[in-house]
Amino acid sequence: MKKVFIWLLVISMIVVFSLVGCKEEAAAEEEEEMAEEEVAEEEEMAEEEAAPLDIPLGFSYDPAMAAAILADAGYVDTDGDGLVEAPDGSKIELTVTCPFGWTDWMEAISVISSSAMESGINLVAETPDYGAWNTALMDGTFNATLNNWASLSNTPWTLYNLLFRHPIVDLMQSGNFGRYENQEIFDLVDQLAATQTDDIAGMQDICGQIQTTMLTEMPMIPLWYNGLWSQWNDSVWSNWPSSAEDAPKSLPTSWSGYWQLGGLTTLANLEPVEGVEAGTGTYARNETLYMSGAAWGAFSDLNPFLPGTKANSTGTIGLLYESLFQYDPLTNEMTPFLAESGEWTDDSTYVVKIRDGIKWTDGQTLDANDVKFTFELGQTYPGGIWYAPMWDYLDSIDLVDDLTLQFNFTAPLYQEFSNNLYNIFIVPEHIWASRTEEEITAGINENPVGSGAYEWDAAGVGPDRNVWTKNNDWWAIDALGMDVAPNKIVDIRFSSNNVALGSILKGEVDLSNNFLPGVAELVNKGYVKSYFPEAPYMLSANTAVLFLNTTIAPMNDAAFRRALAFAINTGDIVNVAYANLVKAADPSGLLPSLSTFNNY
Amino acid sequence: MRRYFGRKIVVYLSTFFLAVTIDWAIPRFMPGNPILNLLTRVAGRPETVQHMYNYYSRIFGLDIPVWKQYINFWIALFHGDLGTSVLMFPQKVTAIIMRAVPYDIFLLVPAILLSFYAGNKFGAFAARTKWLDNTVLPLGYMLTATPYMWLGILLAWSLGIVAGIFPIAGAYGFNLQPSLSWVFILSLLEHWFLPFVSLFLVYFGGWAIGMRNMIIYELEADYSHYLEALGAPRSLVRKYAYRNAILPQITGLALQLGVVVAGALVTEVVFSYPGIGYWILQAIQNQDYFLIQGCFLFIIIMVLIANFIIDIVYVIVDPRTRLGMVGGSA
Repeated sequence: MKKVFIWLLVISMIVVFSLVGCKEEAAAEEEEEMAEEEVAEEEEMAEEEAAPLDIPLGFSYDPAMAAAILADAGYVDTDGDGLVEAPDGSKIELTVTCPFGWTDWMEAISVISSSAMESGINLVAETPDYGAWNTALMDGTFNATLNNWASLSNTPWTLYNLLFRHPIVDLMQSGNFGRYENQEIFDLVDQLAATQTDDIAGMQDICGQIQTTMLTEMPMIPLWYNGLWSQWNDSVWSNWPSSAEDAPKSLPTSWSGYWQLGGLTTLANLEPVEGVEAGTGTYARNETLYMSGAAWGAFSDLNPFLPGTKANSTGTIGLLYESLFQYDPLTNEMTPFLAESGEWTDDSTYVVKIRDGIKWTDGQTLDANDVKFTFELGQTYPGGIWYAPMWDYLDSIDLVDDLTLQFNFTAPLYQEFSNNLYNIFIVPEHIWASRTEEEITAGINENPVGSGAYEWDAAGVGPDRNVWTKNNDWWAIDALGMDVAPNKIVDIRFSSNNVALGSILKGEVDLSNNFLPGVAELVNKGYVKSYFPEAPYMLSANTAVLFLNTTIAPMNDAAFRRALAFAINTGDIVNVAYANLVKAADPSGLLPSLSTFNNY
Repeated sequence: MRRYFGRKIVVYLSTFFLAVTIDWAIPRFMPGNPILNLLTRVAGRPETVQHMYNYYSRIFGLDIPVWKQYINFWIALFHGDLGTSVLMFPQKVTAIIMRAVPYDIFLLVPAILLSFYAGNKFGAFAARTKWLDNTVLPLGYMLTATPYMWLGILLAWSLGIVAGIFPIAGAYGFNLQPSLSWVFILSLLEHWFLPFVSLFLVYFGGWAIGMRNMIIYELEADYSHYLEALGAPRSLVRKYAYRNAILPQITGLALQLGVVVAGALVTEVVFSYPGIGYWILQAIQNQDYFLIQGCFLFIIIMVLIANFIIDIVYVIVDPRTRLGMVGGSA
C-alpha cells in the first residue's frame, strides 16, 4: 500500500516539476535573445585579443586556466548567476553521478561538483541507485560519471582499451561509456593491442600518441588512483608485506582474482605469531587466517567462468583454480606458474610448456589437454565465455606433447593475449568435458576439483563466510618451494563497515580489505597496519576516471571538457573525500606501475 | 463459524493474488536493468556484448513479452520455483530463502512474542502505580521511539566492543562449523542475544505503553467501577480489565507482524545477521527481480498466515466474536 502512495507522490511531483520547468523555459527564451546580443559583442572583443591560449597537456587543478579556456571558447556568464552559458547562450545544466551508498565516491562527486561550480560550470552531484546508475552508464544516458573498471594489468593497453572501447554500439558495457568517437585514437589502440609486450619503445610511442590526443581532446578525466584497501592486525600472523625495507613485497589483498596478482605470495610469506592459543573452536586460531572485505555477498558459485559473481566466492580463481602465469604488479613482471615457460617462436606462434607433475586434487595429472580444453571453451561457447573474442585471432591450439601446446594465431593481439595468460583459469578436462553448456557457463560447480593451494570447505561455508582448507599436496610446495602458511582461511562478509572495523580492532579478523574511512588515524596510532606507514597508506589498485558523455552539448566540445579537467580540485578529493588514503592520478591515467608508458 | 471462515478465506486469497501481482510488478518498474548488472565488468568486446546479453536474458526468461513473463511467474510459483537469483547467480531463490528463514524465525518469533507478553503484562502492572508510571513510562516512550539501528549500534558498541561480552557479527562463531554440539549451540545463542535484545527492547516499549493506556481506560469503565463497588479485590478488577484491553493489542500484533520484517532488516544489517532482511537490501540494491519477488512473497505469505492465526485467536479470546457468528448464522 505504501508503495502505491510513493508512486502517486512521485508521479504528481513529476507533473508539478514539468509545469514549473515549462515556465522557466519560456523565461529562459526571453533572456536568450538579450544574451545573444551581448555574446556577439564579447566575441568581437575576444577576436581582437586573439592571443592563442597556451594550455599544458598534463592538466591539474587550476581555476584560472579553466576560466581562460572557457572564456576563450565562448563560455561566458551572460545572466550574472555566476555560472557560464554555452556560446549559443543556452543554459548549461549537467549532473555528475555515482551509485548511492558508495560513500567515498559520493564525497568525491560532491568535491567535483563544488569545484566545477566555483569555476562557473553548472555540474550538480546526484546519486541514483546502483541499478539505475549502471543502466545509465551503459546506455549512455548519463552526463558525467565515475568509473574504475580497468583492472591491474601488465600492459597499458588494458586501460586504453577500456577508455576507448570501440565500435560504439547501443550498449557500451565494458568501456568508453561517454561514447567518444575518434577513429584516429581507435586505430592507435588497435595498433597498441597488436604490439608485442616486450617492444617497450613501440608501446611508448603509441601510448604517447594516444595520451597527446586524449589530453587535448579530454573525452574523460583520470582523477585519482583508488586504493588497494587493506589493513591488518598482526596479533596472530606476522611478516605482512609492506613498504618497510626488510618486509616482503606483495599485494596484501584477497580481492577477486588478486590472489593471482601476488596475494598468494602474501599467504606464503605469513608467519604465525608464537604463543597464540588454538582456542576451542573447530578451527585452531593459530592456524587460521580470518579475513573480510573481499566477498561482496554470500557464496553463490565456484565456477571460474561466470561473469560478475566472482566477487562472492573469492578464491575460486587463485586459490582453487590457477592460471598459466602470475603477474606481480609491484615489479610489473609476469612469472610462469602452471606453465614452466612460454614464448613466441614467431610472430603468430606461441608455445607453452606446462610444469611436470602438477596434480588435480582428485589425483589426476594436470597436463596440456586441460589447458587446451579450457582455452577451447571460448571457441565452443561464444555466448557464455568471456574470453571467446580471443578466437577471432586465434586459429587453433596444437598439442605438441603431453606438456607442450602450440597456439597458432592469424593476427594476434599480443597485449590481450598476455592479459589472458594470467586471467584464464585452467579447469580439469576429465570433469568438465562431460558437462552441458548450461553447466559450464551457468553452473554452480559444486564439489570442485582444482589444482590450487586451497580446497573448498563445503562443511564450513555459511551465508556470511567462505572457508578454504589448505591443500597439503599442492604442486608448488615442491616445484616452487612456495608453501602457504594458514591451514584454514575464513573469508567473512560483514554487512556493515562498523562491524568490519570493530572486528579488525579486536583482532578477530586478521586481514580486512574493506574500505574503512578514517583508517589513516588508526594506522597512525598503531591499532592496525597498512602497506605504507604514511599517506597514501594503501597501494594503488585502479584509476578512477570521470567519464563525460561526449554525445551531448556542451560536452561534445573538447574545449569545454578540457576546461572541466582544470576546474576539478583533485587535491580536495584526496585530502577531504579520502582523508589521504589515495593518490592523485597521473593525467595519462596509467597506474604508477606502468609509468614507463607516460609519454606526453 | 463456517461462514465466518469461508468469508475470511476468500478475502485472504484475493489479497494474496493482488499482493503477489504487485510484488511481481514493482521490481520491473524500477529504473535499471538486472542483466546489465550481471554483465558488469565482463571484458567483452562491444560486438559480443549483445550476444551475451541475449544469452542471459534467455536464461532468466526476460526475453519474452511481459504478459508471458507474468503467466510463467504464476506457473512457476505453483511448482514452488521462484526463479534464479541474478545477484547470486546461478543459485535458486528458494535455496537462498530457505537458508535465511531459520535465522529470521529464530530471531523474530521470540522477539515478537516475548515482547508482546512481557510488554502487555508490564503495561497493565504499571498503570495506576505512581512510581512506575513516572519512571518506566518515559523510558517506554524512549524505547519505542528509538530507531532499531541506533539502538543496535549502541548495543554492539557498548556490550560488544567496549565490554567485549558479546560478539558483534554473524550467526555463530567464525571459528565453528555447524554441528549439534554444546559449543555450537552456545555460540548460536551468544550471537543471537544482541540482535534479539535490540528488537525486544523497542517492541517492549511499544506494547507496554499501549497496554498501560488501554488499562487506564478500562479501569474507568462502568463495569470496573461496579466491580469495585461490589468490593472485588484489585487483582480481580484488573483481570477483567486486562481481558478487554488485550483485544486492540492483538489487532496491533497482527499489524506489527507486517512491519517487523522492516525492523529486522536494519537489525540484521547492523549485526551482520544472515536473515531475509539482509537479502532484501542486497536484492533491491542489485535489482535482482527474482530475489526481491521471492523475499516479499515470503513476507506476504507470513503476514497472511499471521493474520489468519490472529483471526482464530480472536474467536477464542473474545466471546463476542463467537456470539456474533452464532447470531449471523441463525
